[in-house]
Amino acid sequence: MPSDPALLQVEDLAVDLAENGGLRPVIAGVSMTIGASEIVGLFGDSGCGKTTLALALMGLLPPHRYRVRGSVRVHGGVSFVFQDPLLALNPVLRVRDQVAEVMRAHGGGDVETALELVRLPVSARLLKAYPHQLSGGERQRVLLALALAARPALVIADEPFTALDVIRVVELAALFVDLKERLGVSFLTISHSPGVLARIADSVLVMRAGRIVERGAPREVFRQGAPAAAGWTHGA
Amino acid sequence: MAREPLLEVRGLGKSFGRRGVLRDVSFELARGAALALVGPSGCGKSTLARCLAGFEKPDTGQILFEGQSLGGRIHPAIQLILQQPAAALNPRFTAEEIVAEPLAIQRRGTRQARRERAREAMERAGLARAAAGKRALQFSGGERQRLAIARALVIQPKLMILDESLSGLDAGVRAQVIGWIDEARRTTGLGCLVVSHDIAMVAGWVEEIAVMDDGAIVEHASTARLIAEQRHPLTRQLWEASAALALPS
Repeated sequence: MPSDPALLQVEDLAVDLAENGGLRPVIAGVSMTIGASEIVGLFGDSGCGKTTLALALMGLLPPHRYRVRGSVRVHGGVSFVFQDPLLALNPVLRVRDQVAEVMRAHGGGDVETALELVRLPVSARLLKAYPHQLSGGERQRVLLALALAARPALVIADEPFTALDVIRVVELAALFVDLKERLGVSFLTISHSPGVLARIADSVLVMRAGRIVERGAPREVFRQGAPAAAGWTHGA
Repeated sequence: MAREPLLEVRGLGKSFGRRGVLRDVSFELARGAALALVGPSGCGKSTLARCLAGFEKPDTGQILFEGQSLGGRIHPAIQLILQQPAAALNPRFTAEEIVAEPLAIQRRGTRQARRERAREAMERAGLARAAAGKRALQFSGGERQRLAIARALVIQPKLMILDESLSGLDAGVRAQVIGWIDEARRTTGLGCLVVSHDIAMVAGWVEEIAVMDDGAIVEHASTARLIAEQRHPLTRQLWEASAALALPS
C-alpha cells in the first residue's frame, strides 16, 4: 500500500555502555515510527535513558563508550535541540552572527526570517545580544531557529521546557504546535512534564529503565491510575 | 507565643549595576506559617531568597529575624535550599556526611549522635538507610534534592527557604517531604518561604501567596482569595498557565 514513508523508523534499538571492562545495557528493545506533521513526546523519570536514546537516534553517542545495535532509518533531515541552551549556544557570538553562521552552512537565508519563524520579535537588542543576555524563553527560541535553519523534517528536542516558567512553557508549547501546522515539521520532544505533553503531543512514549513501557495518545497514557501518571510531577 | 513575627521584611531594595531587581519589598511571616513567592523568571524572587539567606546584601531596607536585624549576615537558623541540588552537595562526601555536616559545623552532639540524626533525617526524606554510604553523584536528581532537604531540616531551622526545591520531585515523594515540613511547622514553629513559578502547585500547600513582577510584590493575599479571584493581570496569567499545564482529570 503506498503511503508517506515514515520520517523516522527505529527497530529494536539497543545501547550498551562500556563500563568497568564490561558492557552495561542502558537501552533495550526500542522501536518507534514518527510520521510527517506529528509531535511525539518521550516521557520518563530522570535517568531512564531519554537523552541517551535521543543521542543514539542522532548517531551522537561516542563509539568508544557506547555500542549501538538495531536499525534507525531516517527519511529527511533531522535537527537536534540540546537540553541546555546556554551550553548549546556559542557564548561569544551575538545572536545575529550565530544564526547567520548556521544559515550559511545550510544554503543561506536571512536572519530576520529565521527569527520570525520562531515568533521572536526582531529588534536591534536581540540581534546584538550574546546568549547570556537573553531570557530563557528567547534562548530556547534562538536554538529552535538554528535547528530549523537546516529545514529539517524532524526536530528532536531534549527537555526544551524544563528551565522555563509556566507562562513561557505554555508559549513555547504553542509554538511547537504552530510550527507543526505551518511547516509540517515533526517533533520528538523529551519531557518529564505530562501537562505539557498532554497539551501538544499526538502520541507519547513512556520510558522506564531504558525500555518503552507504554505508548499511546496522551489522554490514554496519562489517564488517572496509569503507571505514567503515578510518578507525575506537576508543571514543567 | 512571641509577639513579633518570625520574619519581617521592610522596604527591601537591591540593584545589580543599574538594573533594579528588588523594589520596596515588604512582608511578614509568622512562626509556623508558609508563604509562597511566585512570579515569572527574572522577577527577583531568587534574589530575594538569597538576601534572606545572607548570600546577597540588600541595598536598602531591613530584614528582621525574630525582631533582630540580620544586617546581611548568614543566620544559622535560616536554611536555603537551592534549585540545583547537585551543585550544592559535596561530591566527595557520603550521603550521611553531607546530611550530618551542618550539625558538625554547629558543633551539635557527639559524632555518633550526629550520624544517627543524619540517618533519621534521610529516612524522613524518603531515602533508604542503606543509601547512607553512597556519594552524591550516585544518586538521581530527585534523590539529591531529598538529600539537600534532609540536610537543611536536620538542624531544625526556624526558617526554611525552598527555591524551586520541590519541582523536581515526583508527586508521592513531594507529599512526603511536605508532610515532614508541615509537622515541623506545627511542632517547632518552623516558618517556610516557598519560591516558585508554579502557582497552582504551591496553592495546594501554603496559606498565603505573594506574586512578584519586576522586583516588586504586585499582589499578596490568602491562597483561598487568590484561587477565587486573581486581581493583578500577572497573577491571572500565572494562574491560567499553571492550570493549563495541569493534567485534565
